[in-house]
Order: sequence, then structure tokens, then C-alpha cells
Amino acid sequence: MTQAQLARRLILAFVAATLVATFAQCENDEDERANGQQDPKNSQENNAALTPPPDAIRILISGSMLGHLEPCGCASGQLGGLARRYQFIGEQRNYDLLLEGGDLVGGNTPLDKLKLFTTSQVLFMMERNYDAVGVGLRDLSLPLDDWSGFLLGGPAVATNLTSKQEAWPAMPFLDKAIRDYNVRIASLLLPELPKSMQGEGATVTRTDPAAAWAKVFEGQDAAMIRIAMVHGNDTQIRNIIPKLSPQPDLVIGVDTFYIEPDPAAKDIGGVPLVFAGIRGRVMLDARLWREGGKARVACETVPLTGSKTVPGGGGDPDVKSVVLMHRMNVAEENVLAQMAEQTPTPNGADYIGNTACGACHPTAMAAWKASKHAHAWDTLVKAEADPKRYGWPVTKYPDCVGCHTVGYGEKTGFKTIEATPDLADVGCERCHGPGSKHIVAPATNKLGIIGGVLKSEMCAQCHDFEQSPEFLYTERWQKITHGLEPK
Amino acid sequence: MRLLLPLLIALPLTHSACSHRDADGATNSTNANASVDGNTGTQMSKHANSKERAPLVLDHDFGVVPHGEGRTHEFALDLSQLNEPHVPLRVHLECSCGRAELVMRKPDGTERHIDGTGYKHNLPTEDEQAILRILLDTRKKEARDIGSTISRGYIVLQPLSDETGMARERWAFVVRFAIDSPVTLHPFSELDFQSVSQSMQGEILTTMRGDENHPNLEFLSISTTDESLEATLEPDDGRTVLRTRCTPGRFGNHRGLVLVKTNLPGYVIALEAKWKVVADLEATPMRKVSFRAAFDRAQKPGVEIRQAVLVIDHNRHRSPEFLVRGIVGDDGRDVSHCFEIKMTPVPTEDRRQRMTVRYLGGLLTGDEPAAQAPVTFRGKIILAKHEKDIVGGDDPTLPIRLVVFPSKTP
Repeated sequence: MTQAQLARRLILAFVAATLVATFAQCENDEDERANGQQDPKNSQENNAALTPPPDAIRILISGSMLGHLEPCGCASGQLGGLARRYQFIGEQRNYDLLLEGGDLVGGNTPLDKLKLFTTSQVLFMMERNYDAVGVGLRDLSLPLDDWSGFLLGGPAVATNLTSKQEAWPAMPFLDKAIRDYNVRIASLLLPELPKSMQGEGATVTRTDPAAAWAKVFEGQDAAMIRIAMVHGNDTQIRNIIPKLSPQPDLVIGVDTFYIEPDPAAKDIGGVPLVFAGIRGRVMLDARLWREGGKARVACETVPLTGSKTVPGGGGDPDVKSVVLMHRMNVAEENVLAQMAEQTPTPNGADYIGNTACGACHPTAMAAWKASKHAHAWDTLVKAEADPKRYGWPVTKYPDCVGCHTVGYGEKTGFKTIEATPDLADVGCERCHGPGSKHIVAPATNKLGIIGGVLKSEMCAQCHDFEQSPEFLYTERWQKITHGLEPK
Repeated sequence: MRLLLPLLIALPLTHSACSHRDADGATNSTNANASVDGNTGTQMSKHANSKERAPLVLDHDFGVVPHGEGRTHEFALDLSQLNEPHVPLRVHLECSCGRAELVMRKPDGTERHIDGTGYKHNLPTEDEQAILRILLDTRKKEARDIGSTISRGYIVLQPLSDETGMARERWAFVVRFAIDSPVTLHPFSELDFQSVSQSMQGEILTTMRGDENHPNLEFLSISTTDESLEATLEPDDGRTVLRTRCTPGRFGNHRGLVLVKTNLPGYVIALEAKWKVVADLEATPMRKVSFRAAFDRAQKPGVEIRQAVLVIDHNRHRSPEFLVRGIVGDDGRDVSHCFEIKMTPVPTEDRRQRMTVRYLGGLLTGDEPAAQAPVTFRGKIILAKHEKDIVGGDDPTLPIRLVVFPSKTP
């Protein structure tokens, strides 16, 4: 590659990374663009000026936690976490409904199971119980036995999902009487179930959401307040709203890509639509009432911040303990080992470790050693030893280990510090890929080059909007640049 | 065009984010913008010059703002730089002490707010200037120095010709600031009491003194916003000790402020306090352990990890240890021999212990008809304190509900 070509590629990578970093929260706008079904000029997006009447129903809303029991702590100022959520909920004296959209976990790993276990302990067993919890695709990705076992004690709602299983924990709707209001809460899943969940032996069946919605309100008093928690993307949610009859009074969108919820409810043909955000970073504090037969919503987002000065401060102390117990369980059950070596490597080769790379690439190795990537594992070790900030087995927690090692989760990748010490830290192969074939025949098995074969978005796998909010590819690249070996 | 606008914005924005500052801490990119920096409060003192064009890069550095003061900056938005009319819909700023507003201003200074719709009436008229106003209120931050910080935001715009909303754009901006607090608080500028149990009183000592620029700072009087908080000021060798006590009241989470007036005109130090009032003896997440087990045999060691609760005695006049006084069924049967209870201290939490429960077998008496499925066992584990911790006849116990469902599989 000529210098000009390299420069061009770097510029392209720079532009891409810049866009990623600067517009890290553009997903919702993209979704807005994708929506062509209704005229947004009718959208009343600036309803902050709405003044709720004193008897408005006050609803606290969360959703799409995706397994983020608490912020990882890699960066200061991270939002969210169950402890902070319960601190906020616990301070509120006069709310009427506590709703969780669902998608409590992000996947189907042993860690996700333990996370759901802990989440259900907090959501359904502690003093402030949730009134309803929706069911999302991510929840269903767990084996039904696990999922239903954890949620059996909770108020799970799934209006257009049915199951013949005895242990199916979800109800088609939940009712709550609030002063003079009768409120019915439903939860709709818009995307089709994945193929793996369909066909013979399927434990869950999805029905038409609009028909399911109509059914649960059939014959009900028009005065009943109708709340829908709707799982799907922004466009799907906007599209289904006009099809829901009777008209909902409030739709809570549970879109797993909707990072930053807007406090102003969107008005979709007279139906207020709010989004719950992701990763449990914020709560919505909404007030719902009817005015001349029309549903109105005034909403605020509550960022769940921690203490800015007290290390580890803030958050409900009891929930913090429960989350701490989860951390201990993960270590004691050796979940780290259970999740190691589960998937094939991206290029089919094996990981060989930094030492092997350094034999032929001494310049790059020297540059790497001077970078923070070379001390990534040590960061975890220090965090583990710091009782004020962490104090729990950080080096045994898969979410943390994944970003501080090479190839964790993949065949021949990091397992434990004892078994694979050469794959600790963010080494060469974390970015360039496994090198066993390359080391045998370098000319015919070229590895990825950042800005070239590999996309700079790779950095964002760990340096995402939360872990590295100030991340700029061009700046950070200067800190790890190692170039080519001199000929 | 849809891709072009963010590109145009992103590239120089990134450049400016990387650029170093002038000696006075201001960036060049704000030269075209009117500013009221330097004033305290958030009152406007002059209007943005509508003749000058704000560049596509909206970047303003407030410099170092004394804690307790406010700042306002206005960007005069030149929407004509976009290649077709765009209606500003709304503005978002990610900043805990900052707020952003979009207004249209006439030459006489009167302003109108836009209503968030994409209609033409939200475009500036010929004699109006679109203004993005940033209001910074450092009173919303805790009293401590904060180094150079960047807050990002964006304006959402919709092309007038866009009937669908599919072509909306974001116009990114950044504001930079640092905060200089005249007071140094040690160890923290917040009061986090964590749990305050019924029999105990929380107390936090905070030392206060003026920083190097305010050596003569005096602390005049003190008040709190919650009757559970009581605070005093005590002189101590050239510094002042703030002693804050938290008396338990109603159960649950609480938040309040401790307000300290100073001799700096108008400057009041506000320390946020948080606490949770709890019972002396607690089990979390709840006073209950439930699990499934085959009744005819012992559970394998290791399963008890998930059959656990955290128990704590908050009363520091006693040791944190518990003993198991008994395990009884709802029918009064003593089943202590059927379960193994283990207590292990929780790391980093000096008084909390994890109590695990493992079934050892023995719930079946042998008299059950073979065809009859075992019924769920319901009972309780009674935790109590050691004799040395029982004072004056006070013998506290912590009953924990125990429910064992029969295993589904043989």
C-alpha cells in the first residue's frame, strides 16, 4: 500500500469514527427518518409546557436494561444501575404506577441467567415492587425454564404471546385501580419470534399485536386508561399505534437502540408515545391524564447519576448489596470459565499471544508496551483491590474481562490469567485477529490492519458511548500508533 | 445532502475538539457569537448580532466559572448556511448544570419560542434571528473544583420541504467550562449516610475551609431542608468542621440539603445528603429464601450459592454475628436437622453476611403414601443474636421465611 493509499484509508476511518463518536446518539433520529407513515408535522413534540392536573396518574418508567445491573465504572459520569434506580424510586412518595418495559437481559449466557436472577430479586422482592414488566425478545432468548422461574413471582405481561407451558409467567394484561381510574396495562411484541423459536416444539407463540390488544379491551368501559408497553424499533412502534383500537392513552416504546429518550412525548395521531431508553440509564417520570377525551402526557427524564465525589457513593445500599452478591456468585460459579471458548474465531485461526507477535514486529511491540492497552488487565486487578470503588472479583466478571483481554469467549482465546497469561491485556490480536496461520505463512495469511481491512468501529466494541464518552478515534490512534516494521 | 450536513458539522467539530486553547481559555470558534460571559446570573445584557454568521461549528468555552454563579452564551444561528430552509425543532444538551433554549429574536429584543413542529412559522422571519441560548447554572453542581469539561448537544432541524420527517438533521454543538469552588470540602462535598438504622444515628464530619483564592472565607450559619438532618459548625484549628447528624425517621430512601451561608455575597454551600432508614435487623432482597429440591435426598454442595439472602445487624453496639435459633415448619415441626445454614461475611461490607441454605434431606417422614406427591414445605429460619449481644432483656430475632418446592424431576 502506498502512503497515499494509507492516508486515504486513515482519512476514511477518521471520518467514520468521527461520525460514530459525534453522533453516537443518532440512532433515534435515524429511526425518525425511517418513519414515513405519519405526518410528523402533526407531532406535538414540545409538550413540556403541559401542566398536569393534580389527579394525573404518575408513572415511573424504566426499560431495556439489557443486563446493565450497574455501570461498569470505566468512565466517570456513567448513568444507570439498579441501586441508583431504587434510590430514586425509594425517594418518591406519591407515584401510582411503576412500569418496566422488559428486555431485562441482553442475551443467553450463563451470566445473563445470573443477571436475570438478581434483577428479578430486586424488581420483585424488594420493598418497591414493580406493577408490571413487559416481555421482550431478549428476555425470550433465555431458556423458558430459566426465564419463567425468575419471573414467576413478578408481574410479567405479554399480551400477544401465549404458551402452553404451565410455568409461563406472563399475563395478557394487568389492572390497577388508581383513585377514580381503572388502568389496564398491556405489552406487545412487534417483531416476529426468531426462527429458532418457531415451528414444532415451540414453547411460545406470537399472535397479531393489534388483534391481541383489541381482545384485552373488548367490552371494557371507555373510561378505562389503556397503557401499552410496545417492543420493537421506533418505526414499528409508530406504525402499530394507528392500528390499535381502542386507542391507547400512553404507549411506552421499548426500543433496544433508543439510547437517549426524549422527555417530550411524541404525538402519534393523538396517542402519546414515550421511549424508555436503554441500559436503564434513566427513568421516565410521566404524568398521564385525559383532557376533553384526549390523552395527555407530561414527562421528564431522570438521569440516574451516582455520587460525583464519594467513591462508590449513591444508590440504594440494600440493592448495592444484592448486586454485590451477584458479583460474588459469578465468581463462585466460575461463570468466566463457562463462557470462555464458546464461539469460533473470526478468521478460523488460533490465538497465539503477544510474545509470538513481538518476535517479528519489535517496533510495534515496543509501541504497544508503552500504551495503556498493555496494562489493561492490571487495571482490573487494581480495581479489584480497591474496596472503595470495586472490591469485588472484577477479574472474574465476564463483562469486564471481555474488554481487557484478547479473544475472551472465542476458541483458543483468553480463559483465565493462569491458563492464558499471554492473552491478558488488549494485545495485538484483539485488533488484528488470531495469528496462528499468519505466523506460519505471513505473506498468504495477512492479518487485519486498522483503517484498512478492519473497521475503526472495532474500537467502539469497548470504547462505546458509555465506556469512553470522549473517545475520538483520531486522538486515540495517536496513543497507540505503531505503524509498519521498517524494511 | 442528508449525509453531507453531518459530515460538514462533524469534521470541524472534531477538529475544534482536538484544538488547544488560547491563553485565556477561549476557542476561536466563538468569535462570531454574542456572549454575556463574565456576568453573574443568567440575565442577558446584550443581544446577538444578527449580521454576523455563526459558523457551522458551534463551540463555546465559558472558561472558569466560580461555583454558585451562572453564565449565558448565545449562538446566533445562520440557517441560511444550509442549502435549503430548515426548521429548528428542538435542542438537547447533555449537561447536568446546563440548559439550552431555541428562540427567535426581533431587533427590539422581544423573543418568541418555537413550538417544536416542522411548520414554516417556526422559521425565523426576515427581521428575526434564530438564537441558541445556553444557560449554565453551577449551583446545580456540588461545591468542588471541576476541571475543563465538555458538554455536547444538538439542534434537531427539519428541512421545510420534508413532509415526512425522514430528512431531519442534527446540528451538533459543544460547550466547555470549568468550575472553581471557593471552598474546599473534605473528604467529600456530599453526605452519603447509606443505611441509617432505627437504633442508630448517622454522623458525618466534613472539614471546610476557603481555597487558596479565598483564605478568608467564613461560614456564617447553617440550615437543613429535612428535619431528620441536624448540622453544626465547629471551629477547629483554622478550619471549620461541619458535623451532620441524621436521625432515623420514616423508613425508606431520603434526600435533603445542608445549606451553609458564607461571607461571600450570595454564596451558599449546598451539600446534598442521602440516607435510607432501615430496621436494625435486615434481610435483603427480602426475608425469604425459596428454592426447589428433591425431598428424598440432600442437595449437592454448591447449589446453595443461589439459595441465599444477605443479613445484617446495623446496631453497632452489637457484634454483626447471627446464630440460627431454629428452623421450624408452619406446622411447628423442628426441621433444623434438614438444612445446613452457612454465614459468610460480605467483602467490603463489614457488617453484612450472606446466609446460604442447603437442604440435607429428611423432610419426608416415611409415612407418606407412595402415590402422594410431596407438598411444598413452608416454614421459617429464626436468626437471633449471641448471648453476649443480648442486653437488658432485648432479644431481637430475624425470622426468614423458608419455602422449599418439591423438585419437578425425580
